[in-house]
Amino acid sequence: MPLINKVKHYRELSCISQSELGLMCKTSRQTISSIERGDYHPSIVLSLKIAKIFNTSVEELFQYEEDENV
Amino acid sequence: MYKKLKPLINILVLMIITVIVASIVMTLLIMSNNTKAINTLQKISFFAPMLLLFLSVISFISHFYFRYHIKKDNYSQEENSYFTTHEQVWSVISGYLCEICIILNITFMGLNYNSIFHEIYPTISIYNSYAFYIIVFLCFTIECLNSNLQKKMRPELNSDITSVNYNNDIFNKMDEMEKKQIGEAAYRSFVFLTNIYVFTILFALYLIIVFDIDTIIVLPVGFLWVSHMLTFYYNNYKLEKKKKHKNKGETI
Repeated sequence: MPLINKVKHYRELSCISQSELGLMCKTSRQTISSIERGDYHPSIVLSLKIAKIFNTSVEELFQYEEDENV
Repeated sequence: MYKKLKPLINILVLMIITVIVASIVMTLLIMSNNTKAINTLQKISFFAPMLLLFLSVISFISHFYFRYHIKKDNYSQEENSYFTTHEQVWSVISGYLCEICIILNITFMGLNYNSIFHEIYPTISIYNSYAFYIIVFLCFTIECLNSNLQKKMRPELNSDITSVNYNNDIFNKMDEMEKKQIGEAAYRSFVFLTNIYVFTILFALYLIIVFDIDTIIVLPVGFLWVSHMLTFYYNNYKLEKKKKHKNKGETI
C-alpha cells in the first residue's frame, strides 16, 4: 500500500476513540477504522477535517511512498 | 502470457459451464416428461414455505439474541466490541436472510397459486397459506426491529422505514466510504444482473420451445432487462447533470 497514514498514532496520542473521532469529523466509526487499517483512502475534505482535529497537516497524516516495483 | 489468454480462457470456461448446465437440463427432460417436471417443481414449492417459515423464525430469534448481547455491551461500538465483531453476521442472518425469505415466499406463493385457489391439496394448501402470512408478518417485524436497532446504533442514519424514500434517505445520510462501497456493490450487481438477464431470456426461450409454455414469459424478463438498463443510464445522466450544475454554481 503506497499510502501510509498516522491517523491511529495521532488518535491514540489525543486519547480519543474511533467513535469520538467519527463524531468530530461527521463520519462513521467504520470509516475511521478502515482509514486506520489502510483499507480506505479518504477524500480531501475528510483528510482536511481529520488533520484539523489533530492540529496537524494532511501531509503529516498521510504520506505517499513511491512503490519501487512500479 | 496468461493475461493475453485470459479473455479466451473466460469464454472457454463460460462455454463449458453452459454445456454442463444444458446437458443436465436435457438429461432431466429425457428422464421425465414435461408434466412430471412441473409436478416435481410444484411438490417442492409445497414444502418450501415450511422451510422458509423455519428460516424466518431463526432470523427473528437471532435478532433478539444479537440485541441482547449488544445491550449487555452497553451498545458499545468500540473496536472488538460485540457489535463490531458480529455486525456482519447480524446483517446476514437478520437482514439478508429475512429479505430472501420474503422474496422466496412470494415466489412460492405464485407457484402454489393453482393448488391453493383451486384446492387440489386442501390440507397442505391451508398450512401454506398460514405459513405465507406468518412469514410476511415475521419478516416485516424483523425489518422494523432492525431499523429500530440501527437508529440506536447509528442515530445519524435515522429514517422512516414506512416512507417510500427510505432507501434513498438512508443512502443520502451515509458517509463517503459507505457511499463508495455501496456504489461499487451496486455497479457489480448491475454487471452481474445484465449477464443473468441474457441467460434468463435464453432459458425462457428454451422453456417455450421444449415445454410449450405461453410465450408471454419472455415479456416480464425483457421488460425487467430494459428497465434495469434505462434506470442505470437515467441515474448516470442525472448525476452528471447534478455535477455540471454544482460546477456552474461554484464558478459563479
